Amino acid sequence: MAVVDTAFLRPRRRRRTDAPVVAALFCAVLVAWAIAAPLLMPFDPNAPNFESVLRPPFWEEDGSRAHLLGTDQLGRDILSRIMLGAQVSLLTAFVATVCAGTFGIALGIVGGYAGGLIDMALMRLVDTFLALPFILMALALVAALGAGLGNIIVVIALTNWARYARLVRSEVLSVKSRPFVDLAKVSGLSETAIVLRHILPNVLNSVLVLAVLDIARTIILESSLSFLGLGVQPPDVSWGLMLADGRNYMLVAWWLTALPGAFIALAVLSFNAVGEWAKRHFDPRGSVETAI
Amino acid sequence: MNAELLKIEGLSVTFRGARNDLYALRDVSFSIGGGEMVGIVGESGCGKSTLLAAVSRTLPASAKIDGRIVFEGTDLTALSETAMRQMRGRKIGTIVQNPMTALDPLFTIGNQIEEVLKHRAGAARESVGRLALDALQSVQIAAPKSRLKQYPHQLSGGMRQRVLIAMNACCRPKLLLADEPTTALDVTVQESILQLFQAIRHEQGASIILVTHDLGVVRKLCDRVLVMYAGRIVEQGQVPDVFDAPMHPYTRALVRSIPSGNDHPDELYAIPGQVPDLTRNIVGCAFAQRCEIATSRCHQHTPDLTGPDLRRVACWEQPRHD
Repeated sequence: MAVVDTAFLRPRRRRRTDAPVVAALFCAVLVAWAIAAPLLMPFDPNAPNFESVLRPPFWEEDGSRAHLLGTDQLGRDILSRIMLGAQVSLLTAFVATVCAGTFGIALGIVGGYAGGLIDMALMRLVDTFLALPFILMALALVAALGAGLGNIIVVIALTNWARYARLVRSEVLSVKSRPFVDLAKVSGLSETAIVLRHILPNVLNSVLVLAVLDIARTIILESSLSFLGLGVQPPDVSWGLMLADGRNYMLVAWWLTALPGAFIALAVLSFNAVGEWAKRHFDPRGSVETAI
Repeated sequence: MNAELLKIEGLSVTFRGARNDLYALRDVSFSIGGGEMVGIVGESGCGKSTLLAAVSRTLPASAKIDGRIVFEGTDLTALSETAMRQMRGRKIGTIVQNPMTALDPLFTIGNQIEEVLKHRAGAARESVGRLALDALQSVQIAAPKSRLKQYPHQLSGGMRQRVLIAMNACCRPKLLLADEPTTALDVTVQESILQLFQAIRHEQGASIILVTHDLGVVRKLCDRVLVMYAGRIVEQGQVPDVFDAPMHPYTRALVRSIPSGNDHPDELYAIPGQVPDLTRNIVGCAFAQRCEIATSRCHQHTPDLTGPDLRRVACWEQPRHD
């Protein structure tokens, strides 16, 4: 009999993976849905049908097989509207995140690499943007620019770029002091080449993590603005707009608000879960955590 | 020895600090001929690395540089940054101290060598793959073909240093600056790495400045040696002369500190005291406080580096040649 317990030496059973498989799958399905929405939609999402208004989903007593998730007060098919809404919401989220990311990366790299006064000025600008309340700033910008799909993307990009700039700047500071940058310099590489070929690839990891997490935030922001009537305008459809449309009928037709609400919640939850997982795996030092 | 390749005249480097300035190099002058290998020795903080950084012009912005660094007839201190960049890599190669972190972890070895080949050595796009393989073969790396596809973390320190040497060698620089190239490596691979330097020198006719703590290496590989102390050259000469008949008390002490390996002394010899504070303006000979033969003159006046052309010493207690 062993005096010392050596159980810890034996190979342990493989632990269950911590990858959020379900969440990732849901995200993938949403993206596929959004892309293929025009082909998959059973009805024209904007075509009213006054013969069947406020139909409940198919599992309810009054439900019909034709309108699986029911119809709204104008008889428009909820399923089709949710699918097209997914396209608008996700497109807004992706494009706005890419714009915010690109702008933030550019300013973060300039600040981090140049240092000195430029860096200070840029970071004070970042602080200013981060200090302003999210929704308030978005509201002010929409008031100035006007509502609409294109403007909403600009507004979201403008409210989100600062966190990328701060994250990238802090990453650049640590990457630029690493010896391979010195080596690139003594090999005669120009500053631009060093930044593009060695610094940028080394900071992209954490930027991607932040971007996935940001998609979730952006979906909420877009929904909020659309709900307030400042975002996507009819005839475009978005989940937030559906919430706003349905809220007068909440007591008689719960599905008008509950279903788009559920999709917002599930989409945000899934992108967050994927983002958190990516953070654990690709950003073990926690630079994303500290930057935002 | 061929014509003069690098001539440094009256080089002083001062780091501007918030409180006080640090005098890293004081009035350093020497020259190096084509194909020559010169060792620079001295303890930590005596200005060896600063000297190399001054030649490749990679000192931080806080450094103030006086004097001239003439390379192939051009004064490097007067060159524009763009012109200097053309020098780096192409004509002046640098081997850094720590090969473990000097390669970009995101790219394969092949990628990084090809980058140098394309942008520095001016190789044609179609031939970089073959040239990269040639470069790795020339530094006798094991299984060179598979190394091209590997990432830096998959290579040992010795292999990474070979990769760095290959990257430098494929540009065929005239001057190679090696800052303690073997310090971070296992003793068993040091020897073979140093042989690569010999090969580059003999095959490409490159001059090499080798900064090292290892006097044994200098004795074995170098033609000449410069002994530095507190930012100054205190002695220089042909390797056999300096090692067999050191003139400066500091050099003597250094040579005495080499463990001989034959006898087994109870204690290894160490020079008492420390390198003086470089933020002070040192009056007299910087080594005087640790010197066994220092006189009052040594504490008051700084000795010049004097002597016949290639054998010079800065010590009052040596026969003067002025």
